[in-house]
Amino acid sequence: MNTSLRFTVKLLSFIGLGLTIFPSFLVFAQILSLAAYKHLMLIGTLIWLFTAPFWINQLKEKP
Amino acid sequence: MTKLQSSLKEQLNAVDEYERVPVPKAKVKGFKSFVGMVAGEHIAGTEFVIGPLFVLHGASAGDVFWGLLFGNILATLSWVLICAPVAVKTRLTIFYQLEKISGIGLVSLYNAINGLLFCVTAAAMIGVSASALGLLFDVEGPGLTDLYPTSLPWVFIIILIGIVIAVVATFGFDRVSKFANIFAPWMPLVFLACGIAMLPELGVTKFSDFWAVANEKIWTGIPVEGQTKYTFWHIIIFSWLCNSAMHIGLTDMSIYRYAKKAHYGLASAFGMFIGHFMAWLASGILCAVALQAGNDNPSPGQIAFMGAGIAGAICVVTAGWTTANPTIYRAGLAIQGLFPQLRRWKITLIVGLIATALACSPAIVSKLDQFLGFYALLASPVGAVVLVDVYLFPKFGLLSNLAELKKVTFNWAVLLSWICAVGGSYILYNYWQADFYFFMAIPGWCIAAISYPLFAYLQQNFIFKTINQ
Repeated sequence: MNTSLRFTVKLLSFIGLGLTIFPSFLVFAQILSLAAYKHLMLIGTLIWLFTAPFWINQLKEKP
Repeated sequence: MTKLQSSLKEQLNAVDEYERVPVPKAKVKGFKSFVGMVAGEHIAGTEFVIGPLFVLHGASAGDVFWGLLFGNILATLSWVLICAPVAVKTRLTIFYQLEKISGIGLVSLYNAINGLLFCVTAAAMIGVSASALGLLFDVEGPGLTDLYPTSLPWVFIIILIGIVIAVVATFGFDRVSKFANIFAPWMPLVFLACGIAMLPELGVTKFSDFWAVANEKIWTGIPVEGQTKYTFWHIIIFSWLCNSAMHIGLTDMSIYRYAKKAHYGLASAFGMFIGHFMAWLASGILCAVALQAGNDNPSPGQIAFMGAGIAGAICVVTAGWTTANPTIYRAGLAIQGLFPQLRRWKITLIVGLIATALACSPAIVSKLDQFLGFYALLASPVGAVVLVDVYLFPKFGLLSNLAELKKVTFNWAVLLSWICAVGGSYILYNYWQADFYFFMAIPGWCIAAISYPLFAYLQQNFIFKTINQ
C-alpha cells in the first residue's frame, strides 16, 4: 500500500472511531435522537472494521 | 491432498510456540502487542454481566468507584510484580515450568484441570457471542437451564463463532495478538458511548448531576430482592481477584514470556481500567436503565442492543471472540503438556472444537462463575509454588526445578503444599461464608508460599540425603 492510500485508509478508520463515540455526546446534550445515534454508530463501526485491518497490524515495532 | 491443504499444513507446522523451550530473544514482542491483546481479552461480553451484578447486589456508588479503583490497581500490580517477572526470567509457560518443579505426573493433573476449565471459559464466551448474533438474526437462544440447544439455527451460529475462534487460536500467539489489535481501539469506545448515551434516560443531562443520580438510581446501596448486599470490600476483592488464576496463579506466563521486559506487565492496566473499570461502570448504567424499563434480568446481548443498537450487538460478538481466542490458545498449551508428541496446532484445533461443542449446552456455561472460582482456588497456590521455587529457593540454599534435576515424576512437596493450600482456603471459604471461591485465592496463595519451602526443606535435607546415604 502506498503512503497516500495508507493515509486515506487510516483517516477513514479514525473517522469511523469518531462516529462510534461522538454521537453519544450529542445524545447526552440532547441534540441527537437515540435512533440516529445508533445508525451513526453502526456506520462508524463498519468503517472501522473494514479499514483498520489494512494498516493496524503493519506498524513496525521499534527493536 | 490439494496444494492449498498442504500449504496450510506447512504454515501451521511452521508456527513455533516454544512450548518446551524458552522463547528466544529474537521472538520477544514490544509493549504494544500486549496492550492490544489484554485490552481485547479483558473487554469480554461478560462485562455486560458483571457490571450489572454490582447494581443488583446494592453496592453504593462510592463503594463501586473506590473499590474498582483500588482493586484494579492491585490486580495490575499483581501482574507487574509477580507474573511478568517470573515469565520474563524463565521465558517458559507455567505448564513446562511446573513440570520442571513438580514432575510430569503432577503437572499432568494440573494441565488436565486447566485445559478443561479453559474450554468451559471459552465455551461461555462463544455462548455470549452467539446470544448477540442470535439477536441480530432473530434466532432465539436456549434458556440458561437448558442442557441441549433448542434450535438448529442456534447450533449453526455456535459452530460459526467456534470455528472462527479455533482457527485464529490455532495460528498461535502472533495471530491471536493481531486479531485482538483490530478490535481493541473500537470496543472500549462502544462501551463508553453506551454509558454516555443512556445517561439522559436516568435523568442525567449535565455531568455535575451524575454523582447524585448514580447514588439515587444506579448504585443505590439497596440490593434487588433476593440478592445479598455488596460492600466496598466485595468490590475491591472481586476486581482484584477475579483474574487471580492469571496473575498470582501465573497462567499468564504463557503470554508474558514473550515480553521484552518485566514491566510490560503494566499493559494489564489497559485491560483492567478499560474492561474492569470503565466497561463495568457503563454496563452498570445500562442495567439501571433496563431495571427502570421493567427488565430485571437483562442478557448481555439485550443490554448492548439497548445501548448501541446493531453496533452494540457486534461489540458483544467480537468481545466474546477476543476473550475466547487467548483462552483457547492457553488451553492448547495446557493440553499439549499432556500429549507432547502431538503438534500444538492440532491440539488447539481439537480444544476449539470441544469448546464449541460445550457452548451448545447453556447449562454447563451458566455455571461459569463456579468453575472460575474453583479454578482460582486451584491455580493460585501453584503460582506461589512456582514463584518461590524460581526466586527464593536459590536464596534459601534449596534446589530449584527439583523434578527435572532428580528425575522425579511426582514431587510430593508440591503436592502436599497444594493440598494444604486448597484445603485450608476451602475451610476458610466455608468459615467466612464468602460469596465466591476466588475470594480465598490470597489465603490459598499464602499457605502455599509458606508450606512449600518447609516441605521442600524436609524433602531435600532429610529424605533425599537419607536415600543418597
